[in-house]
Amino acid sequence: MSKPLVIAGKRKDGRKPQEYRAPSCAVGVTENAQGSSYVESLSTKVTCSVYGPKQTVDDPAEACDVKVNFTVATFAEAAYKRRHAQQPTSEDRNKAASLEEAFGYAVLCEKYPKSRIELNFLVLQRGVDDYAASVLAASLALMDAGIEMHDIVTAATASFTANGETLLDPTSRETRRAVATLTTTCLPNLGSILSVNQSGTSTSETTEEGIKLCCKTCTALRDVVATTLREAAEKNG
Amino acid sequence: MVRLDSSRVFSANEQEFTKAALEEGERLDGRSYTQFRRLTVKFGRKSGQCNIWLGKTQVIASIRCRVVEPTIYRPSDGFLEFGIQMSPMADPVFAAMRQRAPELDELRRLLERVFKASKAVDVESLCLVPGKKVWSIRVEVTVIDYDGNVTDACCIAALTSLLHFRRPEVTIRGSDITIHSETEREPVALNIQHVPVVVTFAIMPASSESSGVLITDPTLLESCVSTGELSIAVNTLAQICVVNKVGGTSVAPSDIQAAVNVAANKVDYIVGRITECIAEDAILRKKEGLAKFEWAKERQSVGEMEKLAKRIEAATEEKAQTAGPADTRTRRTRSLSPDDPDKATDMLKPEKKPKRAKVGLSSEAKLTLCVPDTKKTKEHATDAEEEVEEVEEIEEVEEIEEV
Repeated sequence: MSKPLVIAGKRKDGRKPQEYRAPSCAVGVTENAQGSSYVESLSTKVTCSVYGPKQTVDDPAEACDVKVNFTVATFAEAAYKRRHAQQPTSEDRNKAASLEEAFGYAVLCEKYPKSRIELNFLVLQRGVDDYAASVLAASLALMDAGIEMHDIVTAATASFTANGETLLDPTSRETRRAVATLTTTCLPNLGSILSVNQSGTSTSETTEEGIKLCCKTCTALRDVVATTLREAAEKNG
Repeated sequence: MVRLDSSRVFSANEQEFTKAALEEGERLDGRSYTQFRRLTVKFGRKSGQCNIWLGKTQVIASIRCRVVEPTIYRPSDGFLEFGIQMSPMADPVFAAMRQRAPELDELRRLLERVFKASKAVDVESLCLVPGKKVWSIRVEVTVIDYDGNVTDACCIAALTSLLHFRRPEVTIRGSDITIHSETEREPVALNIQHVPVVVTFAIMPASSESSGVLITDPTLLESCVSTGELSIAVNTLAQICVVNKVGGTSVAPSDIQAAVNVAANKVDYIVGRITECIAEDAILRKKEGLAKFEWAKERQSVGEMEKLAKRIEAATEEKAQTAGPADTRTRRTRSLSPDDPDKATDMLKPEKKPKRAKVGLSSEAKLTLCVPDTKKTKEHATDAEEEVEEVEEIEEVEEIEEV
């Protein structure tokens, strides 16, 4: 049988089970877009650009519409995992729909009537936490574009092992061998959860513990986002 | 949560009323926040075909299985696929829904997570010959009537279908497989490790009067008024398989914990109902199977030989009694007893071989069946002189009838 994921309190990459590696972020990476960002987490590299608020001529509505284009580059993952290079898989369509929903709520849509905000994601390297990284990227890009939101939106992933440990920010190897994986998107300042996603079986105590842990991480990530934006603002004068 | 379109329009009045009632703790149909609507389960003729009613929402599920080649990347994994269709019967708006619509995608993904990712159905158990032949199981779920909570109804339908389905028995010799038909060998159930049930909550937004509320099994009106949805899949071992909250109003972590507890309580009720209905259906099927078996037996004259042999035996016994001492001339007049070693050869003789038993057509059978009076039979068989007497007898009979 293969080795356990946590030996003597340390994971394979030397982290503790509940230690997460803060992603490195940058904003203002694209010239044309109103707002853009680049997030590099443990195994994912994703860039997001925001165009909008753009005027919608054909469908004037009271509040703005948030549209998401989620594309994964052809070189983003190993060949055997891709099905059709051009066609998005149903998982990706799902992620796009989730991001649309999440940011459709987080953005103060009533402030932008009769308009549309477009979020374009390009995943350059796909890892297990591509959804969490995309959420961060979108938050940064929207703030870079100056679009008003309820709160900074952040997300974290955790995996539950068969031995009952909770691993924060898991690698793909850890997720494959885990019993369940949980992704939580939070509004850290408001202390509420925007979306929760669990696949795999676990007890309810484990899930609750996982959600709490993810919420704590989301609060820590909020600081990362804030720092990035502040530094970018200072650099631009 | 991608909201399903509906052509039903609820007036602002109705929506306000529903919201206000919920703030006071009342639901329009009198249920409590955590009560489900009535769950009815009916089965079709084939195994795996079922009809689910959750209140007025109706969903049909069916399963088909076949043997295919596995992918090269997963040579020992079978396939478990889900197909969802929203029939325009449920709502005319569904006629325009594309196959790749995000609503269908989300539902399909949820079903895959609930059954495949949680290992409720282990795809490795569907392997027959690694690298060459595996089972591919496809669950088709069709929504026929839409009154809210299609998520739960579809999941219950898929679950019932998977529990009810029987796949053909297979014998494997090396890399050759023989699939036995239903009539050859009894089909077997799928290997289901645990039984997950999805409970969906509609999130009612917090307002000035009350804090936000989570209600289970929302009707269409309630889901129109709600601003978010939370689905939790729990199995009978109280393990959480799926937590799915996508977009919509944000909730506090304590709300999610409360929802998890409620979902765990609901599972027993739902699984109980399903197993009850499956058990009832099993009894009906067994009865039907037995009836079919009896009919097939009759049709193929299994048991007819014994019946005919008995009739012949009875007739020859009577003959032997009336004929007097035993006739030693031929073996033919010897009575045909089942233990007689010569019986076999007797039976094989062309004259003795009973004809294919069509009811009423074999000559001797006719004699005993069509003619009510056995005395008359004997008289027929002996002298022709007695025909006169017969006529008289017949007249007598007629006289009796007149009286």
